[in-house]
Amino acid sequence: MHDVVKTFTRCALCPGVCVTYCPIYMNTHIRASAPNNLARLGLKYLKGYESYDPALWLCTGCRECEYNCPISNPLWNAARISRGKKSRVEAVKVETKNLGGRGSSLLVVSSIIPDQALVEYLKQFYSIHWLDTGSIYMAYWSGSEVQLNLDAFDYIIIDDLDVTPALIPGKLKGKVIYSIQLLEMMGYRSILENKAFVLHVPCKISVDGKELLINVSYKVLGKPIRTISKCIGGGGGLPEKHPVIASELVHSAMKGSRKDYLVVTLCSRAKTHLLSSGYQAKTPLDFIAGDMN
Amino acid sequence: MNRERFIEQVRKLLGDRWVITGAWETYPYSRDYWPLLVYRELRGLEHVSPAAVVLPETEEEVTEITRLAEENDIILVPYGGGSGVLGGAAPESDWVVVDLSRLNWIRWYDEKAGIVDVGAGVYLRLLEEWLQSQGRTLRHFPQSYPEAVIGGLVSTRSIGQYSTGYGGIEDMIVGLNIVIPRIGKLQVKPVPRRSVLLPLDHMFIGNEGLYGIITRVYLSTYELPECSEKVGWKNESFNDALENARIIVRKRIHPELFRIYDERESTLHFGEDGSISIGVIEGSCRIVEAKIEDLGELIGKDIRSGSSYAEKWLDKRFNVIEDLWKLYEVGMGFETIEVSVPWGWAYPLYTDSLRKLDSIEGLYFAGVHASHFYQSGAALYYTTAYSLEKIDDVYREIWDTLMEEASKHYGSISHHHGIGRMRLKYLKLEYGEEGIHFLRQVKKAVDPSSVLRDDPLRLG
Ligand SMILES: Cc1cc2nc3c(=O)[nH]c(=O)nc-3n(C[C@H](O)[C@H](O)[C@H](O)COP(=O)(O)OP(=O)(O)OC[C@H]3O[C@@H](n4cnc5c(N)ncnc54)[C@H](O)[C@@H]3O)c2cc1C
Ligand code: SF4
Ligand code: SF4
Repeated sequence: MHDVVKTFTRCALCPGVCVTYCPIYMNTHIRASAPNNLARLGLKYLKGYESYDPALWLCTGCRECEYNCPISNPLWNAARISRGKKSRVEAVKVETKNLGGRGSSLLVVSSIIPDQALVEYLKQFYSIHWLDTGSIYMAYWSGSEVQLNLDAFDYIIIDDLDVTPALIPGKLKGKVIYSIQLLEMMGYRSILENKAFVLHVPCKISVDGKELLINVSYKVLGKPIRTISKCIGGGGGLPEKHPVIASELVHSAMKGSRKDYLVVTLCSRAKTHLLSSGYQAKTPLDFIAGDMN
Repeated sequence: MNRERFIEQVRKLLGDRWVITGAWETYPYSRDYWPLLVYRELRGLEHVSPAAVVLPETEEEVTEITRLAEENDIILVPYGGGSGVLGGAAPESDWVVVDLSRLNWIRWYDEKAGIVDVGAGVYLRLLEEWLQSQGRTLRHFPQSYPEAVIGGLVSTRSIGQYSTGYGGIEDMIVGLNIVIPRIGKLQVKPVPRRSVLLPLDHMFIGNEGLYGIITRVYLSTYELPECSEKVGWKNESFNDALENARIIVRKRIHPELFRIYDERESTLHFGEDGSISIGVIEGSCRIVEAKIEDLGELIGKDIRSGSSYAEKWLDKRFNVIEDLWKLYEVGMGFETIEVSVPWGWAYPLYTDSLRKLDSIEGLYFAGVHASHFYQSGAALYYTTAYSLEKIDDVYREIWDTLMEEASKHYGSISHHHGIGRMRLKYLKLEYGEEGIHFLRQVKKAVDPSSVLRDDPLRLG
């Protein structure tokens, strides 16, 4: 079991050897998002300072801090686990698409609690199982495990890939998936098979995941693709600042590049921003949906 | 004080996003890396957060912010990387922090001269990487290299691990801009040297945000060294190591990076008896070779044979967290204190101070190394570990002891960390009444309303 307090405490004791590697802090100047400060806030939050949590939601889990940490402290994981102490209610904005045949079973994995309008819409086509990843975090805090049988579903929509292998020790027995990180990989594999849909993927999830995504995109589009890794992603998101920051990050990452490149962004908000700035932008969903139509 | 109005005005100036008042966003500024505050926080004690944080992007905005602060009776405290170890950047609850991280340009001022124009908010690591990509280097490597920024480094008169070869930050600064409350933006253009009354740039190096906010620094850079060799050797005792260092420095064949450890630290870091010296010699390959030969001959040792000591140290030179965590897990805290002393008093200071430190109850370890050498003397760097349960008493005792001993032995109370909050009460030991009077009068002249921290005015 990940010792969240220990992980945070190490960072809080550290002057921040890794801070200049954190893409969020370096791009936003929000000092609360610098790894050592994020951990300080994390400790406060766990002690009951409920309103100190936004920094935890800023972390994309890119792991740059861990890779550049002299003691490889898995801060990103502590941040993610801590988020589960509080479920967040946020409106979901989705592009509604016809996702497939009526009557199929669909699993939605999301950090967001079910959005009724979306559920109603999807119900026209599927029998739905909505898995709130928050509930997985909750399970962690109450000491229990969550088990999932992927094979039971015809389609999967993955909205939030926020849960990590360390959260639930990664034993994979038969077809039962214990870890959403593995589920994430399954999700990508499914994309390759045109089986599942990725609605929105936080960027910088894992190197492998990204590789797969690039491969898929390449396969679908048949031309070289440039990806952005500096984007903040969606995750739970800060209600006000998040979209602005995400857009700015993508914009700064794109500074000086040619507008006739296709930008594959993993963040739909960023896509909107890019389109309005004259770039060509697509999210994975565009590829997959395009290929299916 | 008219805080609301000030915040409103700065919002207009910078835009809402760059004026922060919310609890979670201001909390990170509640301390720097002063161990007393770090451990306080870990013990669950409250810190005060500043009333607000403002993040200007230009020098003009900094100037306007100081003007508005004076108009509204606000105290400002500049914040760099927050790696200062004495509380200098830690605010009080009604102060406003000026975070300089958006002043982050790096560009050549004169490429041929190797003079780089750097915003005060640039992280040192990023500057060095940029320079190295251009075949140049600042050669300023304090242990806080990953987390300190240029404005903070200049404001504390910092020094790096290669100082014996390249000097402190003051030797790299050829000009700077500083915003002084009653004066405005003082611009001292970069030149190799000048002789024009008071050195207006150098006067403000080490001002720790009391007299002005440094916004721009012009730094002189070096070509990357062609060769770099590690050396190391063992001395009989720390006294021997000091004496060898003195002779080496006097002959001017010192390594660029040069460190000597007392017996206690040699055991701790290298598992060796005796007193270890390590060095890195840099320059053109032929000069490096010649230096190694001369240096070995001078002290009668094969100095290549101990290169593994240097390698071991280099490997972990920015890694502070590993040891701190080990100590923390067993209930111990740390403190490091640096002083400088002329050669004649170095060893007496060493022995007298350690004897006194050893008698402090609750102090488990005190060791010394020296890593900055001069023709006239050296810096002694004390590393201590103590029981966190007794932190309040032990901490003060360590400080009182070392400050008094340094002063008694004709040393300075600080070699490179500055004064922050912690050293304020020892200032008199350094400069005497007249010195403090002078500091106060200068403050009164340039910042009569105490727009910037006013601690010196409050000194007893
Ligand atoms: C692990 C560790 C190792 C260290 N090693 C060294 C070392 O080898 N050598 C060394 O010299 N120091 C060392 N230090 C001390 C510290 O890094 C230095 O004092 C550094 O110069 C502080 O830079 P900063 O940007 O973090 O400044 P901060 O901590 O943010 O500020 C330091 C002081 O300067 C003021 N200030 C900041 N920016 C400005 C500005 N633009 N204008 C005016 N005032 C300003 C602040 O108000 C404060 O009083 C170390 C610290 C740590 C934590
Ligand atoms: S991840 Fe490592 S380097 Fe970064 S703040 Fe934490 S302990 Fe320090
Ligand atoms: S994992 Fe989170 S805290 Fe660490 S570098 Fe990435 S965004 Fe920053």
